Amino acid sequence: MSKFIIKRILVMIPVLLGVTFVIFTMMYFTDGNPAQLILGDMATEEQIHELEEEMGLNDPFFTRYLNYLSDLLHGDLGTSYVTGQPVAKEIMDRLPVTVRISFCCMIFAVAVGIPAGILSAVKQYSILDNLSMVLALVGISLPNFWLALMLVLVFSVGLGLLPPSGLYGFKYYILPVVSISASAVATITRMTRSSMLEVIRADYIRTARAKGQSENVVIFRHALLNALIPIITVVGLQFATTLSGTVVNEQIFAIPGLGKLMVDAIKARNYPVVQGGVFVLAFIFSILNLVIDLIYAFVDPRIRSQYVRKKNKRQAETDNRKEVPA
Amino acid sequence: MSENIQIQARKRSQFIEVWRRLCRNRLAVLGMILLVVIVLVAIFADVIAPYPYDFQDYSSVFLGPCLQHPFGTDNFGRDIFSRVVYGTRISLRIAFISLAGSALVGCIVGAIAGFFGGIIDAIIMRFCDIMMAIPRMVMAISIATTLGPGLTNAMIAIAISSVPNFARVVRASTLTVKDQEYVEAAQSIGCSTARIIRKYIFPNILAPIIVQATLGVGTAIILAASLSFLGLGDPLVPEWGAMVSAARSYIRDYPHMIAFPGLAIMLSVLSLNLFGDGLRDALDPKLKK
Amino acid sequence: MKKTVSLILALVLMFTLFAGCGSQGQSEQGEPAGQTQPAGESEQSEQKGETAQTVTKDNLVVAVSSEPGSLAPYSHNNQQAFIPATLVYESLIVKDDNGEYQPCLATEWSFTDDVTLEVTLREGVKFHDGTDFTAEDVVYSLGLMQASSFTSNLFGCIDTENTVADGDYKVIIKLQYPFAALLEALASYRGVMISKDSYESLGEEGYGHAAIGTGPLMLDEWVSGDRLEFVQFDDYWGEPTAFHSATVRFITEAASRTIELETGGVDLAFDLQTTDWDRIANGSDTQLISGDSQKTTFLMINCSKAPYDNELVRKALAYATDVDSLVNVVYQGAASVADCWMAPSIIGYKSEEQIPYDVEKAKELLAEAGVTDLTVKFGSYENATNLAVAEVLESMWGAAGIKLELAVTDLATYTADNNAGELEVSYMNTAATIPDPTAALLVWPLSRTISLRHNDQTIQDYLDKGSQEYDSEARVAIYNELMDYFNEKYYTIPIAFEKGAFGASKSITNLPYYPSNVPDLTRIQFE
Repeated sequence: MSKFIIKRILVMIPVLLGVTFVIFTMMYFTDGNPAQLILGDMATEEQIHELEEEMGLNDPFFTRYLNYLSDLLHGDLGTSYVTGQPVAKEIMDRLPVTVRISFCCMIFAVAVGIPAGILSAVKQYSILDNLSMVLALVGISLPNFWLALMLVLVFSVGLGLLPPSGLYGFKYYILPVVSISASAVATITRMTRSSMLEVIRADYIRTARAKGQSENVVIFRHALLNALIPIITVVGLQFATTLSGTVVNEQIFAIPGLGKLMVDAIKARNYPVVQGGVFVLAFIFSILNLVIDLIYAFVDPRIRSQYVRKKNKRQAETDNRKEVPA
Repeated sequence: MSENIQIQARKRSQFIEVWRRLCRNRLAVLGMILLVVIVLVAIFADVIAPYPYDFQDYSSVFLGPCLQHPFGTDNFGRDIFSRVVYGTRISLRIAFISLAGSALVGCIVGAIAGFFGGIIDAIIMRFCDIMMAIPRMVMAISIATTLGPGLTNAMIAIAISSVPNFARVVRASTLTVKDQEYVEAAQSIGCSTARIIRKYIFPNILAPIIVQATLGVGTAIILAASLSFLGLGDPLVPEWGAMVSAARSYIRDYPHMIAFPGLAIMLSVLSLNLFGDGLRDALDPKLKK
Repeated sequence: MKKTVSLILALVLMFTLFAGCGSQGQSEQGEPAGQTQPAGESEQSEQKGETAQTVTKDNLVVAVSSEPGSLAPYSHNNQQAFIPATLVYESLIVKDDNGEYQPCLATEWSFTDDVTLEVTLREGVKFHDGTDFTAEDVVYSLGLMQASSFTSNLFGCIDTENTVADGDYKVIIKLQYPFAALLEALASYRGVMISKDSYESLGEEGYGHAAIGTGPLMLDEWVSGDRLEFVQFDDYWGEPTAFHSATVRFITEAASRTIELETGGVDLAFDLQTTDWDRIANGSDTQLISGDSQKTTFLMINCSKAPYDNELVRKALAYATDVDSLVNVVYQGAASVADCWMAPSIIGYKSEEQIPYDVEKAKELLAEAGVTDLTVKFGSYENATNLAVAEVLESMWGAAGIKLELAVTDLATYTADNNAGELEVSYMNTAATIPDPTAALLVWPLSRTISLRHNDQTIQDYLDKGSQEYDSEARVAIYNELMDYFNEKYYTIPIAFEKGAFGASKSITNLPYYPSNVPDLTRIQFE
């Protein structure tokens, strides 16, 4: 098991390096001069050139990249072109907000999606099933920025029940979380339903029922646990989508999160912030994928047994070797 | 000789079988109809739209839905219904072209990775990992910013950010198919690699590719709308996302300006999802006799 | 069957819900009916230092549209960042509501000759870092102002080598050349004083996040991406503000700013969208404070690029533009048609005769210039107003046979292209930070690299003459002549004088409209 983890962490490193290279290259080839943007309209040519030299913007590509990498390895993500603050600090100020919202979205999505999916699967073809499937279909078809605006229209402007911006209390989380997680809820519901349906039709469920097990035990112990495997994968993927979804909705709800920071930074050619932000996000994703895979491996008895079998095989091998006569 | 005819006949009956299964699924049929309607609207936009999409009538600004303007007018007095209709062309064009691009590249890359395995597979998968480690929106925004604004660049950005998904799906299917006996048989009689991929692997991984593609178009539409919502795209054309973005300031007084373009997005993606779902069920090999 | 019915029901339900919200129909968009209090006419012209009213508030909440990159006063141009800065920084002098200069950090000032200003400073003033405000700080601040690329147009005249402190409380400011706008600049929010000791120890970026000034409030906390918190400065030399603390929230979505104002979430909201002005003016708990701003918008034409170097072509573009309709449609009453290059509040403004809208004449002029099939490349970044103008112009110019090709890039690329002289035509605005022609005519000096490129020495001569003329009558005459000259040459086509406004809760008083759009928040009182 630990070998698995170590191997995965080792693989993460070239991936993260690749990420820095890709983003660095993209920023390098983007039009626009950060020095000019910082100094404003009234700057003279010499002032701009001076700042460019200072910022190292005129150095060749590889020099700049290698400098960036070496700083990165020392834990220095650079300083923001716009505020002069260390990028690490800016990101760490915003990251908890985005992570918090993403987590709330995922909890909401799982809390609503899985029960809805189970119910739909169990009561297939009923009104409830049809309604939830329809809503789920609509949910994955809605652009989340439009949903956000519509929710603001109805609940903030129209009914005055919920605040339209900021994050100062529980009430403030409701609209952003609902609008960002809508497609995740829908996808998880659908996935749960189809996974459960597949499992329910399986032979071992029929056996359990024939044995006289109560319906609840059949559903929850046998069916659900086995259906969980693909559901977990989907949940993990949806976290990625949710994180992506916060990018646009943070603008609409004035949420001081990482998504907004990134979009603003890209627009302002604030390279260090963009590179740092993407790196941090990629890091989080990779860890997340690792965790998902671990849970997956843990839950799926087939994979688990593979490792157990391997251990036993090795044991058997060494035992065998001992037995060979001299 | 008769072998070929038999194979072709089998193929045709398979196709008919899938089609029959599809038609039995009412929701899929609804999706198909909606899709056809949308495509027709796009093709016949000039006939359907009562006004040109950029015709400004300053005496009829901000009208709500009424007889002459079923969706109302915007801040320039442009008919929103006409703009939504013309917007169909743009959204479909962006979505299909970028989808086709990413499907093509994704298939080739995924098939190669799945078939050859080993180092090639590892390298290609690492590239995919790298691209998937960056959140999709951030990736698309970065690419679109690097290339500059405009529809073509938005298409390229969407296409590139969708390649890893395709590559993964194709690779997984290729891996499954690769282990089948008929592939082994083909290899044993000395078929060339290209021929094997073309004749044996490709037709059998077609099903998941089609499903992924259909659902991918929907995602592409939403991605395109999001990009133009953020301002990357062509601001002069009536792209739905751009229309929603422009209407944000007027959300309290004239919500119809936001509602209708957004509904258009939703209905297009919905029809694709309905159709895609039906297609997936119809192509489900477990139901194959 | 059931599934399809449910699907259709759900869709119909949503559709009716949203369509129902949408049947508001036409709403009149006339002039904003808010209180217009131009700086000179306010009845409540209380100055700094007058006794505070009995009503005080615990916390003043202000909404601005973007987060400052830095609060260091000479390092940026961000208007939204200057607004909170008025709480912590102060200038040597201030301009009262009658247009007269009043003492602030300086108690006396006088020009001993064309290039020398002697200033006596107030004693007993402390900075937020505890140090005393002395002449050294003034000399240091002036030095920074002179060097910064953001304030060089206002303070580039200062001769830093010969500007010295005469004791602790007297400064002799020397100029390199006469500069008539000096007092105006020193009285503005761009001429505030900073602490030399802190600036040297913290550096520019550190200072930008510490914001150490002499004002009645000081920066307590900066929550990145969310808000700024200010608390009362106990050692302030003057009268305390009517509020004990202040919060400045960054709310980027314009509709949200308005909603927060209406629901009482904030007391003041800036950078409102013009469609909300009516609502705020008529709101039961809100008031609109508005007036003519110092912002002129114009169509910039690249005068050194063919065919625009031909005066006839530029004239044709002017004739082909129906400025009245353009301003009406794009601004919906939030701006008036510009009849001069400078806004009415600026010295030297003169109402000029406007070019009538005449499509036939435009075609004639183009033919005369020998230009057929003119395609104008219109450069813009993704700003809603700019794009709106482009769309209107496309159809207007189309009537005269002129094709408009819109080239939209993001702000960064646009700025780069603009400064490289690559734009052909673009919609720009110039917002004078002080009500003086030196600030209003910022784009005209020959040294500017933006794509205007008029290469006309006559204009430079006028600018030089006008900036150095201390006699106000003579000065006005010079600028009047310059405005006439602009009108003859068609280097640009002035379009609109933008109105400005900010929203406040009804309980706020003593806050008139500031044409610079940066009001002095410390003077706010409550009722």
